[in-house]
Amino acid sequence: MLTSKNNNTINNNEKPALNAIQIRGLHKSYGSIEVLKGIDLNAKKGDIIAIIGGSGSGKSTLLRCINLLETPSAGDVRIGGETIKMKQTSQGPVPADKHQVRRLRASLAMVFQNFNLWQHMSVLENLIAAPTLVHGMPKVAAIDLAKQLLTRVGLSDKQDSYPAFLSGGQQQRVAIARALAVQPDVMLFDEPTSALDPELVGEVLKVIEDLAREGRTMLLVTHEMKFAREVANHVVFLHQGLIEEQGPPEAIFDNPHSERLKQFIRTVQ
Amino acid sequence: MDTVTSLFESLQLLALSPPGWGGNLLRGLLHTLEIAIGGYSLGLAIGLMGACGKLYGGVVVRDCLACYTTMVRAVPELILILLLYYAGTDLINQLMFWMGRDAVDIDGLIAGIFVIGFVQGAYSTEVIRGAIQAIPQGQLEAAKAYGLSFWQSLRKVTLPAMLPYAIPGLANLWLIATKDTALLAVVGFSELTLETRQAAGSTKHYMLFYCAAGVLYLMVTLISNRLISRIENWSRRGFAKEQ
Ligand SMILES: Nc1ncnc2c1ncn2[C@@H]1O[C@H](COP(=O)(O)OP(=O)(O)OP(=O)(O)O)[C@@H](O)[C@H]1O
Ligand SMILES: [Mg+2]
Repeated sequence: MLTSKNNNTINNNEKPALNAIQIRGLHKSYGSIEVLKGIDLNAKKGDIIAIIGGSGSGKSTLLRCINLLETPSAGDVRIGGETIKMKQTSQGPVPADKHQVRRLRASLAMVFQNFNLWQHMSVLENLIAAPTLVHGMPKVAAIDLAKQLLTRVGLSDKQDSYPAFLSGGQQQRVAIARALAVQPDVMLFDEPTSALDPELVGEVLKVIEDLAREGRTMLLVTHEMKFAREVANHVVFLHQGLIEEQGPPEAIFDNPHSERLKQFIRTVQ
Repeated sequence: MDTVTSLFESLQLLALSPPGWGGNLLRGLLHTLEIAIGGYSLGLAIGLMGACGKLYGGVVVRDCLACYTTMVRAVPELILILLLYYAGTDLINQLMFWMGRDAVDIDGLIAGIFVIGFVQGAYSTEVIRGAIQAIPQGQLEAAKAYGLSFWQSLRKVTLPAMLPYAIPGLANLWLIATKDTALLAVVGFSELTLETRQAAGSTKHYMLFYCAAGVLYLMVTLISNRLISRIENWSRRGFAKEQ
């Protein structure tokens, strides 16, 4: 523990925030069921990491442990070089410092499978909520930024609509704009196209692809293998709560080693 | 011809100035509305805090609230009103005595608002708690994930998002509040029902006055319904229209 802290300070001095996200020995159990069994994962700045794996392998849980929507049972999560402080209670570990959690969450942005837009807010209100409330951005500036982002995702005419009146693909593009509005260091995507009708998948993938080209740091859980291969520079294959195999996309998809990954790739193709 | 004159005479009893009793009835209606609005607002405030306490509070808070909502909803309202009104004023006077002060005359309006508010609070607590639980979980999760604090998320997401689920129940409670005020007649508060009884008793025109009171209550309900459906439509602005 001590040595890792020391390393951290040294690293910080030399190359600040090179590691966007560092996960060490991450475990997560629900009751007696262990869902994550010790995950180590590094995301450097600018990395685009695709997380693939079968249903129930723990992909969502891994992503949700990073922004503490789930509390890890053991292990370290480090965001921008800063370890999330945990403390032990009778119910197991919980985050020790609420303010730290809020601050670190503010540097991340999540795009959910079911969009999770705030239904009582217009598209524009959805986009300015976090910037004004959490990041202290003046409302005028937030509206400006929101309009730019809506143009970017091709929805400039929808700013006053409510989410329920948009198609799934449009809602997800709004959700991506909402994520961009907080100018995040890292974007987390949890199966952003899985809830969409097939004909709407393309428009959302295209927006994500553009973001990838900009050199944003992204962790992307996806079932779109072709897409993962095209945009990711690193692919992680999760199986039953462990990283079974990882590497560059060509290695993972063209030359898989583990039997399970071979089988997984066969079933999705 | 005879019936027409007698009908005309009885309608004169509803005139606004004496010897007509219309003014008294309207004054009673005003008091009724004052108590209903006051009690309902107090009930809403209690309900908001109660719901949050039940959902986010510690064990002690949750147990106390469970006690409160169960008891209030189990005991007939008339008994609660008598109990709270007499026991409440008694308690306050005892407290005054302890502190070496003189007994106070408790204002009927304040007492009425408190009593109705206390009863309404228990029902509102349950309505609002249910409504908060009906919010799709993902919206609260998104608020968390984007770093909103508990209070920001409550104010900006939880409360506005629960409204469409709460409004039908809360609207019901408002209509009940307007009618529960009639129970305060038993403790001598001169709201619409008591004024009506007095007018009817003095003139022996029972039918006329009770019908008039009925019409007034009906008007309150009709106007309320108009307002409620507006508020409901507004709260459902984010819901796609059903085909
Ligand atoms: N809140 C919870 N309580 C209990 N078990 C849970 C909970 N959340 C997830 N699990 C279990 O954890 C396992 C991993 O779930 P997770 O959602 O991370 O899988 P996933 O890889 O995202 O799957 P999918 O591709 O279907 O989304 C599953 O077996 C699931 O049943
Ligand atoms: Mg999942």
